[in-house]
Amino acid sequence: MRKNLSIHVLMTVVLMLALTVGASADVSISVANTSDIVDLDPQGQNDVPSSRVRAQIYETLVFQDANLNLVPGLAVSWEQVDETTFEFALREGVVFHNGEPFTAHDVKFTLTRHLDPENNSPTQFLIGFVDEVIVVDDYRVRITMKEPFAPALSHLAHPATSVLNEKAVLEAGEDYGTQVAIGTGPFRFVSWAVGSHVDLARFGDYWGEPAKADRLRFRGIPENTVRAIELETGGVDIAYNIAPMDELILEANPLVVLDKFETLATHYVGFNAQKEPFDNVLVRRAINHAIDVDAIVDYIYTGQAIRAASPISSQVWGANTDLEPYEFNPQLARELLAEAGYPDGFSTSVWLNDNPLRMEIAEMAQANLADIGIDLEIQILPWGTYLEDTAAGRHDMFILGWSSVTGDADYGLYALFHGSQFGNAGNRTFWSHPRVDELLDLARVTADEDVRLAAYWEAQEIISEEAPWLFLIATMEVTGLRNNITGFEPHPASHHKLHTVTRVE
Amino acid sequence: MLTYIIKRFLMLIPVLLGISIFVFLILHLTPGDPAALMLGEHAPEEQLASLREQMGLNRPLPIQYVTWLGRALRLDLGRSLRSNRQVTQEIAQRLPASAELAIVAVLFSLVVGIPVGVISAVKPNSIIDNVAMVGALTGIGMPAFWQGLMLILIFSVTFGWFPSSGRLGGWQYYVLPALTLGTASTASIARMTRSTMLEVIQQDYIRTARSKGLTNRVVILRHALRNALIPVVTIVGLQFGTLMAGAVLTETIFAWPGIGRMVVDAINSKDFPVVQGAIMTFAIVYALINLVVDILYAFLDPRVKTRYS
Repeated sequence: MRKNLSIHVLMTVVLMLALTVGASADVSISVANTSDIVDLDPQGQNDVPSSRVRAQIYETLVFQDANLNLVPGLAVSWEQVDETTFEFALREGVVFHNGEPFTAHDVKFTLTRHLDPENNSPTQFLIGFVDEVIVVDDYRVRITMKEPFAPALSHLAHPATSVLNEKAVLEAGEDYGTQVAIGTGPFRFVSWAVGSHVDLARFGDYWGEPAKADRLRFRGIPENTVRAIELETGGVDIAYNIAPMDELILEANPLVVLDKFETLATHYVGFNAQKEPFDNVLVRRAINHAIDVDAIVDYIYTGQAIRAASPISSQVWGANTDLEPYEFNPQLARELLAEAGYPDGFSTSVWLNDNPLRMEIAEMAQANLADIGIDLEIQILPWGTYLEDTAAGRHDMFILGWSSVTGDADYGLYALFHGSQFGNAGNRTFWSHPRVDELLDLARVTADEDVRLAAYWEAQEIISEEAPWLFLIATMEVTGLRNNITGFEPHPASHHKLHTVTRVE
Repeated sequence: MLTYIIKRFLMLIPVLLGISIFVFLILHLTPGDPAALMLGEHAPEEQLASLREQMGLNRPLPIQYVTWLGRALRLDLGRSLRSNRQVTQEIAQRLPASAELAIVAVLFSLVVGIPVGVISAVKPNSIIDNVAMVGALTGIGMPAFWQGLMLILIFSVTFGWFPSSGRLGGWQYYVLPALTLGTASTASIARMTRSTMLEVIQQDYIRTARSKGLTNRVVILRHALRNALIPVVTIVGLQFGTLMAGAVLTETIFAWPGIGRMVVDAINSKDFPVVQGAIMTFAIVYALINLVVDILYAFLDPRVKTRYS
C-alpha cells in the first residue's frame, strides 16, 4: 500500500511535468511586458499591457502614427459633411482573422456596442460624443455627433475604438476577449496562457504590408529587474519599461540597445483647491517654488523624465512649449507663504497609492516643504480607496499621473481642469476658472486648428499661473532591445506596433 | 476508517461556510468602490451608478451573499470583474502552476530536509550537525525576494544554466523558483526531523532494538525514523498548503503564473468574485491536505489505524 501510494505520487508529478514540457512553440520575437494582459476586448480594461497586445490584433478607422499624425487606417479617407457629421470611406478588401469581410456594418456594430450602457466599457467616455452611426453602404459610414467635437478623429484613433467583427463577438458571447479575439490587424491571436504569456501569429491575409515576424510572444514579467535580466540573458528580444536603475546597467551591455522616448504622460501633485489653505493661489505657487523638481528628475527618475512646465507632455498636440517651469527658490516660497498669511507654515498631508516612485517623490517633497515650515504627512492608500476619496474631495494634496493617450490637448486638459469635471470624471483638484472653461469649451467645438491652438496655449498659461498642480515631470520610457532586433518604432502612447520588427542574424 | 473520512468531509461544510461569510464581509466592508476601480480615473457618475446597479452592489449584503452562495453551489463562481473571464476557468488555469511548483518544492525539501535532519540527530553537536543547523537557520531567515534575485544572478546571469523567469515548458523553468520556494520549508523540515529524531532515539524501544543486535542503520531508518516522521508529516502538510497559497513573492519574481499572484492582483482591484473563489479554493485545498495528512498517520502509526478500523 505504501509503495503504491508513493508510486502514485511519483506518477502524478511526472505527468504534471510532462504536460508542461509539451511542444515548445516556434517563437520568433519574444517581448517582456510589464504584466500579463487583462483581456483582449478593446472595449475592456484600458490597461497598458493589454493595449500593447491589442495594438497588434486590432485596427482603428484612423491611425495615429509614431509622430501622432492622423493617417488613414481602416478608413481610407474622411470628410466633415457638416459641423456634427463625419463621413468615412472604408478600405475595401480587408478581412478579419475569421475570414469575414470588413464592412460599414462592423463599424456601426462596434460603436453601438461601445456605447451600450449594459456593456459598461471603461472607455465609453472616449466616444461619448457619438450620436448616431449610419451605414450609407457597405464601404461608407457616417458618424453624427451630439454637438461639434473637434478631437473626434483623434478619439477614433484610440485603440479602444478598434473595429470588431460583429459575427465573432456575437458567437463568442461572454467569452469574447478572453477566449476569442478577432481583428483586422497584422497579427492574429493564437493562445493565452493566463498569467504567463500570449502568443500571436502573422495574419496571412492582412491587407497591408505583412508582418515581418512569424510569431510574437508577449510575456508578463512584473519585476523590473527580472525583465532587464531576461533581456540581458536573451530570454526575450524586447523588454518594455526598463527601470531607471536597470537602464544604467544595460547601457554598458553591447548586446542590448536602449530606445528612449518621451511619452504622453505627466506626473503631478494636485492641490484640493476648495480646501484651506490651497484655495489661496499664493500657497499653491509657494509650494511650486519650494520643491526641487530637478532633483526629482535626476535622483528619482535618473534622467527618465523631463521637467514639466505645463500639465501636458510636449508631445501632445496643443502643448504650450513656451511656458517656463517654476524656479526652485525656497526664499521666495517663504515670502509667498507669509504674504498668504502663513508665515509659520502649516500642517497638511499628501495622498498616494502604493507606487515606489511616487513614494520617493513624496519623501523629497516632505523634506523640501519642511524647509519652508510646511509639515507634510505622507499617506499611502489602496488604489480603490484613493480613487474614491480623491473623487469625493477628502484630500489635501495627492500624487497622480495622467496620460493624454489621444495625443490631443483636449484629453489632457478638459477632464482635469474643466469646472464640469469635478471628482470621478477627472478633476480631482476641484479647481476651475471661468476663462479656462470658456477656452476649453471653445477648443472642443471649433474645427479651426489655429483657434484651437491659441485657446489651449492661453488655457495652459492660466493653469500655470494659477497652479492647481505642483507641476512635476513628463515621463520618458525606455525600451530595451537585443542588438539583432530591427524595425522597432516606439509610439508615444506606449502601444507600439510590432509588425515591422524582425531579427537579423 | 471510511466513517472517519466521511465525518471529516462533513465537517468541511460548516468550515467552508464560515470562511465564505468571513471573506465576503471583509471584501464588502473594506473601503474602495469596485465600480470606480473598474472604470478607472475618468468615469462619469452616471456610468458608475449604472455599473454598481448591474453588479448588484446596491443590494443588501445578505442578499448578495445568498445569490453568490446559490451560484457557488452549482460551481458557478461568477465572472471576474476585470477580465470578464469565468472565475472557475481562471482558477483552473492558475492552480496547476501553483500545484506543480509546490509539489516540486516539497519534494526538494523532503529529499534534502529529512536526510539532513537524520544525520544531524545521529551525530548531534558534530561539525556536520552545526553546519546543517546554521544552514537551516539561514534558510528560514532568508527573504524569498532576495534569495530569488541572488539565484537568478548566479545561475541565470553568471552561469546561464537556468532561465530567469517564466513557465514556458521544460524542467529548467522549475529549478530556481522551486529552490526559492522550497528553501524555508527544507530548513524547517530538517530542524523538525532532527529534534523529533533526537527524542525518539532516547526511547526505551530503541535501546531494546539495539540490544537485540540490530544494525545501526536498521534501528535508525526502520525503528526511529518512522516514528519521528509523524510530526514531520504534519509540517509537510501545512507547508504544502502555504507553498500553494503563499508563493506570491516567488511567483512575482519568477513571473510564475500561479494563483497567489492572481489573488493579490484581485485584492488590489477589488475583484470580488476572483478573491472569493480563490480563497474558497485555498480552503478546500488546505482541508483536503489535512485529510490526507490524517490518513497518512494511519500508515505511519498502526495505533491510529486500529483506533478507526
